[in-house]
Amino acid sequence: MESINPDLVNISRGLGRGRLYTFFRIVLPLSLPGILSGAVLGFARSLGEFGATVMVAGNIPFKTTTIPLALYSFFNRIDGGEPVKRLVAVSLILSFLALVASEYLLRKQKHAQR
Amino acid sequence: MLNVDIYKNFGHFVLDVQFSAGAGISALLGPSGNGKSLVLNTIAGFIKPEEGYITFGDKVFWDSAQNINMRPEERNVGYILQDSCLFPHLSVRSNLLYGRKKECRYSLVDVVDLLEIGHLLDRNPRRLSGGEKQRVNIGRALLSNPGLLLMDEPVSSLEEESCWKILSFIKKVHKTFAMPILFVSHSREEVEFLADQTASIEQGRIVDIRKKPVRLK
Repeated sequence: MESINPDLVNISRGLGRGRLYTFFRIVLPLSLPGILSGAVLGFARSLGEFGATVMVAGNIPFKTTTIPLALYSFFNRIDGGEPVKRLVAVSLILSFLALVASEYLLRKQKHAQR
Repeated sequence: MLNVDIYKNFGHFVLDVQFSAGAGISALLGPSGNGKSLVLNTIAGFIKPEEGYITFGDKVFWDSAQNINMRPEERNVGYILQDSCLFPHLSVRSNLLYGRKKECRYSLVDVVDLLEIGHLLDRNPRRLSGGEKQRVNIGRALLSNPGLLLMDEPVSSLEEESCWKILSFIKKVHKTFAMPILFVSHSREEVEFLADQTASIEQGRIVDIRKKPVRLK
């Protein structure tokens, strides 16, 4: 939101539109790609979260087990080699997709504000 | 009639300006960095002075003695900047209609015809030239039904040919809609072409007011 040209906000108010209208018609649409990009990066960051998840939600199979918790569980099993490899691959793919999506959205925002 | 008597100390710069502008085209003339844009921003309500008053007709925009400070959206003033500042996510048509008031004296067709922008309505502002952007900008301000148009160096970022075209459009807008205009410029030629009254500003103070523009030697 800080990257939005403040003149656009002033122009909107000069055209007789109040703060709230200006926020919903100008500020929010122009910052939407940035907000989505933040959400995607937040999701990607959550893929690596271990401590908070295990403390708050626990490690209940098929209910609260996330990828990092499942990795930890399989890693401590003798037969867990295969699932660990698959989960690592899924984590890498998800992280890469999140990075691409975030970069795409940020570029879109820069383009939209030009 | 616009009456301005404002004082504000910015620390490194003091703005102390008094002038009146009538129903014609008035100009604030002076070099960059002498407070011209600050005066416009103050009239539009984006900067609050410390002392004085700003009135337009029977409206009091700001008055330190009466503790009145009208919000920018209530002042009914069209503001046109040097860089056209069209909303980049809206089409030209949506930009034009953004501030449209029901009681507006002119229709979209009137404004579009006058400014010759009918063929641009469905385009994205990014695909317009500098001159086209500025015409849309003027149209958008007109459709918000302003009582006064403020223009901050409206042609300084344009090439010479577009510059004179836009100045002619500004004259046409004033003549057709009887719209009072206060514009700011550092160019004596532009002022001579447009203004009925010119106030020269230096170091935040009005140093000269002329009813007729200064003739170039």
